[in-house]
Amino acid sequence: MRYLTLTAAIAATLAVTATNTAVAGSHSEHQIVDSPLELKIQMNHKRYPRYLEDWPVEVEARKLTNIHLKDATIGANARTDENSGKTEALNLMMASGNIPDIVGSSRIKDFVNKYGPEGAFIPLNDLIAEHAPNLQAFFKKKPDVASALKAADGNMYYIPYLPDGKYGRAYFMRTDWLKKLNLKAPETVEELEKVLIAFRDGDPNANGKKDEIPFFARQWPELIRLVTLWDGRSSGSDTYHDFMVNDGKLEHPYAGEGYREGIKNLARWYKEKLIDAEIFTRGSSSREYLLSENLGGMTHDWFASTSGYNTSLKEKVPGFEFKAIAPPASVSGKRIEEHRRIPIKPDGWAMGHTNKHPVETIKYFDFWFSEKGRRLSNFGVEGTHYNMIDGKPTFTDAILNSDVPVNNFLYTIGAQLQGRGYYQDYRYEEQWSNKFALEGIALYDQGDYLIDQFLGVAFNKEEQKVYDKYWASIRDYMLERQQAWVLGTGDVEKDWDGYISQINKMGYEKVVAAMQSAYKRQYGK
Amino acid sequence: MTNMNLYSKGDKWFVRVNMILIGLFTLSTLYPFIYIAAISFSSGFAARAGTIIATPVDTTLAAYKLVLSNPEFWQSYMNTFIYTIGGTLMSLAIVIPAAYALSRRQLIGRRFWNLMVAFTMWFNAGMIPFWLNMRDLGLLDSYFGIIIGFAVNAFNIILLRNFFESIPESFEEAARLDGANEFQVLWKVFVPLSKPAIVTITLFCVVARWNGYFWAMVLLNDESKVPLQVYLRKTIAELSDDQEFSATLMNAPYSVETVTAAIIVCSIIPVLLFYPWIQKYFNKGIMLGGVKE
Repeated sequence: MRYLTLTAAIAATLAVTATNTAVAGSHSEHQIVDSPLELKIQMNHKRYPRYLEDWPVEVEARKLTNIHLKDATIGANARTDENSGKTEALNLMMASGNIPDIVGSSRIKDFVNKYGPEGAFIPLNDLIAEHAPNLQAFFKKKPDVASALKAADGNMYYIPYLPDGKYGRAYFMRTDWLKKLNLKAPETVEELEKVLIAFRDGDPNANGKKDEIPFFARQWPELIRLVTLWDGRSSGSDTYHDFMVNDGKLEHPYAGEGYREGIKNLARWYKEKLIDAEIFTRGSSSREYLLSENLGGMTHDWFASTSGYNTSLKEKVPGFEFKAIAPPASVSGKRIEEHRRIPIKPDGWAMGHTNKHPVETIKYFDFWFSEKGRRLSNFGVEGTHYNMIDGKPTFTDAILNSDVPVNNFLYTIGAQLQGRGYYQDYRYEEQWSNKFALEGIALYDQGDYLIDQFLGVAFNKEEQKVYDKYWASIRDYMLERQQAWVLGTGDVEKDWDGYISQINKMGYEKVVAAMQSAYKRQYGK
Repeated sequence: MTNMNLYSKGDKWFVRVNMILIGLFTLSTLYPFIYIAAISFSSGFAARAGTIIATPVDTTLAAYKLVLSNPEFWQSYMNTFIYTIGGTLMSLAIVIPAAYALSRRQLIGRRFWNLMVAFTMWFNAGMIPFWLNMRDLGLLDSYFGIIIGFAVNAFNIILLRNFFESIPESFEEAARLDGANEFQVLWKVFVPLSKPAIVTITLFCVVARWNGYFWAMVLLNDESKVPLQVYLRKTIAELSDDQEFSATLMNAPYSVETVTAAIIVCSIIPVLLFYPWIQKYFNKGIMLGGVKE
């Protein structure tokens, strides 16, 4: 009861302050209201369990906009984790019936797309069209992102955290081994096979033993990714085993001809010991172990962390050089890097239905997409955390050279908060990236190997039902066969027709049809 | 040690084989402890590469330095003590009288009350209703809420009730003849006779409190009130995030594995000290002499 009266009191205060709301004050071009307006916020993320008013970035934003956010986070210690997908804090907030003015969280997408249409969150489309020029300009430039944000009812319920920087994973190879064996970086899949055979037979680690493991991966789906060398696909997005869009048609990569050809060849490579025999079981320590023991020859993994070994293993493994190589051309001559950073995350913020100031709130959301707001959200406060040098925001030396990793530091000042809807600026990361990673990224930039991603669909109730009913078991079956084929306990050529008819029997076509109808509604294609 | 002269030749072999087997079992339960300790003293690189078997590789104290220098660690450690000691005392203060009452024939509606207590073992309201209940009682985000909210465990009450029931009624009659009131009967007769059962329940409470994590995470909003287990989860989440997406931890002398292991080592030390101290009670028989009937 006491809580209710308190809420009522705050609401009343807000109502009073709201009466003098006027557009564009005299102090700053970003000012939204003349006298300070308080809005309540739930903000939860694994790195910062609650909203802090004294984050320097927030202090600055408050000065510029006159919008004053107040923490009202429930279930803070549950720390919504983007990886585990657990949203206990959001559930508790929902159950308590106290949805504040703004809700910012990782993993907010499914939550708002479910409860938004039921009335718990305010649709943002019209508000953006009328009051948010920066957001509007952004969505005009990226119509696919705008489409991908929509819930099944066609409305947009949250402003996402939008990562910048295209590159994620890449092919990495022991280039010092190549030199030792007098080989060049492979340009085609045939050359790649020769290189891997040479790694296996040529004793590049010079210990007299045939213990080299030509290809390995921390995450075994990275092995399946190699089917792109035979014009197959392993996933349509940055999530493993996802659907893909082919000429406006939704399909699953594991039902395609290129996949069949790719798996056939990977099975052969596996048999010939060009692939780690323990690829499915070695797990997360494999990169660390195989590189430090001077055994692993090639992998497909993240730019940043993988290039780091060039520094950390310099002394332990003499001559060690593990560099990114361009994707070898496939059998049909295409060079593809299938993985890339996803341009849109399920994290961000939304507007609770109790919000009495939707116009001011959307203007506040819009502020973070203005040039000044974007810099503030990415780099911190100008003059304190970064300076403009040659037109580029550059972190101060104190931040770049501190013991605390830069991204950790940024969390502590309230920058790069993924519970906030903002557009990341890759330049923030570039400044402290390993030079080997930057080299590799430049190499991939030159070749333009990336391909378009499937950004996901929002199902309506019927489509969701079809998907839930059939998809999980089809996927399990696909993965089970996949593993059997690679390990050689089944023959993909012999089994293929039976495999296709089995997935159809299990409802594959119905799932694709549901996907297709959701896709058509969402992207209008 | 066993005096081997007391056994025949065949028996000696049996004893030896037994000892070897028991030794192996002991080792297999001891090994996880040794392994975690070894990781906590190793370099982050060795821990990630998985080359540690039973002894530290590239010995370093980096993980401990990081853990012990963090005031949040000490705060959460203290909180765990508060929840464990406070919670256990609260549990005993409620469970002992409850079990005593339920074990007495003279309790009116005894069957009904017993049923109501047992009912909670099979049915409970679930997470959200419980959370709402705690909120409406004003017990969110407070030490007291965590202590009182989980003080009563029906299983413990029934365990102790059964134990009380097994104590012959003559004890109670004898005490009453000497002029003892209800409280004195419980305190001077039943509690001393039930030491092994009470110690067992105490242990259950202590272990549950020490490891308690989920509800503390959900009910506490303030970071300075969370117990060690919640702090541990946070540390793992943050460090594994760093490790996955950036190279920043690559050259650090610790890693998520070694820091996690160091926190685990620190958190089991009190339990290791506590356990042997109460172990003697487990060896005791259920009834210690008393009246012949």
